Amino acid sequence: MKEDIKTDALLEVLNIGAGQSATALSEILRQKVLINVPDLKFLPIDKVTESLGGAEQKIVGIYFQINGDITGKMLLLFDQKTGHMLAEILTGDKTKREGKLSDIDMSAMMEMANIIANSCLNGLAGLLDMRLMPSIPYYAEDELGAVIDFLLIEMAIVSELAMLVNTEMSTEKGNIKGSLLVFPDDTFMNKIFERLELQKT
Amino acid sequence: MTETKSQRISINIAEFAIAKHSEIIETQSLGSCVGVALYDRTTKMGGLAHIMLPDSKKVMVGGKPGKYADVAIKLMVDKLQEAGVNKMNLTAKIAGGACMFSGAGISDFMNIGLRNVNAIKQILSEMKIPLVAEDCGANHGRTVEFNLDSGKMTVKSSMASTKEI
Repeated sequence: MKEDIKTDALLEVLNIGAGQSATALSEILRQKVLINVPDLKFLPIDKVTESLGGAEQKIVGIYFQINGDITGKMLLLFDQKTGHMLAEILTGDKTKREGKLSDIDMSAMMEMANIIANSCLNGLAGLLDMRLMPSIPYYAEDELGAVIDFLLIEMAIVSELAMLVNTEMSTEKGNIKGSLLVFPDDTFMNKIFERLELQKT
Repeated sequence: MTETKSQRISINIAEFAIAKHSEIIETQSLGSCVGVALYDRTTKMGGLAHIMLPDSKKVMVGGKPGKYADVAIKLMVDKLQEAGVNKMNLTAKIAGGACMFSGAGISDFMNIGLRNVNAIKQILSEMKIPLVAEDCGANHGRTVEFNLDSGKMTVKSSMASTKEI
């Protein structure tokens, strides 16, 4: 099946990108970071929130657009507690955090996300010999449903279905867990497949 | 007389429902999406929609009718009229339309929430439905409960205090 080969190629490539992200995160945290196998979902847009665990969970999300030869969206998600723990590690400020993170915490989180997103896209760009770069980071902290509806709206303009690839990352100790979500635009998978086919010849 | 417990109807993103006296319609976690409530206080009937996009005519795909402001509002009015509501009695309340993300440069494309709210106001005014209350904008999500007994909309947020409009 040609479609199966294409999705395999997409997952393989994103697995390598996520691996680069995990390496970057482990350098920042000075802890080993593990990733699971990327999970591809293709589902109606109104089911995306449910598939990620439901609208009400409180999360920290950092969003990027993927620009260049292939386009899409990327969202780095942490549950709120993990987000606050990361902010503490990144800033070295151990003050207890309640409610939304401060501007300083926020910019530390965005900087970390920037490194993670760049590592992933640099990995993909090298592998595919493509030009790829993330937009500047955008930060949100709220319920998952409220954070993600902006992405769903953008997708809903062109399609009834959403494609997303979720790679979960966690430290070996298990104290920090997050998700790297990639929402490929509709030409993303074909372009990757064509490039890989070309490289074979 | 015993008071009966209100019946709850939950609607998901891109859905709408109409309901009557003693019922509550709720929808969770509106970010840039907008909750539009229509209400007739004489019959205590109304509806709530969880709207994603302003205009069905500017997109390439169809989908659930509750997705678009123009379609959802018109359908709610039609269904309420079928149920015996006089359109002249309808008023509207809206909540949502936040700009959830912050960053170095929030460009126009990020503020779909504001575009949604503006489009909904335009549609309501064209349909001559007065907008009597709103809680829109800012950068926090909203969960709304629309009570058909009182016509009040309770707006809850994880990041801001609860409001009643």
